[in-house]
Amino acid sequence: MNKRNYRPLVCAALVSLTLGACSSAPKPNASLEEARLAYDKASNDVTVVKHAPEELDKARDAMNVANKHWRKKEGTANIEHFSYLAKQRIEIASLIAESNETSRELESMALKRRNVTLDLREAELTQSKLETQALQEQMEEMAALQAEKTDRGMVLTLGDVLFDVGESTLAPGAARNIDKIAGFMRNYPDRDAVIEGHTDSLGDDDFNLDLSRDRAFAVREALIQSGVTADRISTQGFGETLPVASNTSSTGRQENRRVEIIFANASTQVSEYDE
Amino acid sequence: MIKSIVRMSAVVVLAATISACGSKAPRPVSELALADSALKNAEVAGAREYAPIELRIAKEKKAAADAAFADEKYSKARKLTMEAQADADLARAKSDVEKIRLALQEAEDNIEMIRKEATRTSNTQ
Repeated sequence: MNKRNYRPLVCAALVSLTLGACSSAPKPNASLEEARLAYDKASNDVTVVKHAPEELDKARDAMNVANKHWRKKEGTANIEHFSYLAKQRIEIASLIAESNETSRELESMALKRRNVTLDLREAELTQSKLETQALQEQMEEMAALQAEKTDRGMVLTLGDVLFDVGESTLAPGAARNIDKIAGFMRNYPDRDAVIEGHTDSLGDDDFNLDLSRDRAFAVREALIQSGVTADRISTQGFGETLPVASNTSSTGRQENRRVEIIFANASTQVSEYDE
Repeated sequence: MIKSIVRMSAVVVLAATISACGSKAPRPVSELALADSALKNAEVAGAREYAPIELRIAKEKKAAADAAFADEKYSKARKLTMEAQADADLARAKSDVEKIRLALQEAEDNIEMIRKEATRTSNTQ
């Protein structure tokens, strides 16, 4: 009780002491020094000033209180408390600034992403154009082989000039056509082929049947040699049973001596271009 | 007699006032509430995952502030709760930054993936 009553007196003495001590600077405080450095750095950072002015204000307020305590040489506990608050606020301010800057970067990312996506679309488009072009070329080549669109699908007819008379060995001149067909089949792996052999009506039926089978088989072998997988090609021999022209004339018989390669209408992709 | 009673009570009141002023700072009620909401905001921002250390420090200081408040050590309670609030705000700010950094990283990876895809597509031409 008595002690408390002396408080004003003690205070007055302290104040006069403090005033007297004004000329001698207070001892530096490590926490406060640290806070001052951090504050100077943050308040000179344009992004912090721009994005987190409120936190900087809070930091400055805490700094001011800490400074006041320090100048009055009041307990280090207070100086350290307010220095701590100031330091935390400064760190918060720079984190907020970083958040905002990063958000902006993130927004520009969205734009960048759109551009890259456009590049990809363009690349894909060019790719598909090239594919279409390749398909068209294939189709033109097939047309050169006189591909015919029928109910059974697309039918290519190899004439008998590609075989020696009565033989099932392909003549060297057949290589170009075989290459084209093999190329087509490699490019369109979903289009399987049925190869049918036919003859004219001259000669023995059984011989003709065997010959038609062997010729169809020879074409199959040649395609396999050119890289088409075997299970995509089936063969059949019809002998003289399915003529396409009269067997009474030599031109009609020549038309009947043939090997047909049939691509069933399985692929919508191709039928689109079959027009 | 009455006069002396009046004088006595005056002295008592004065003494009580002085002693109250000397030992008891104002109760930091609103500060405690602010610290609470700062802690809540930090947790909502994902501080448990992104700033666990800062969040723990904030919580410990808040608990110490509550204890000091219960002991009627209001000045101590105020300091602790102010620091707890600042620590919680820091935990929140740090969580926000971490999340945005991760989002940016993800966006960059995503773009890189698309870019690679585009390059691959053009190379097959």
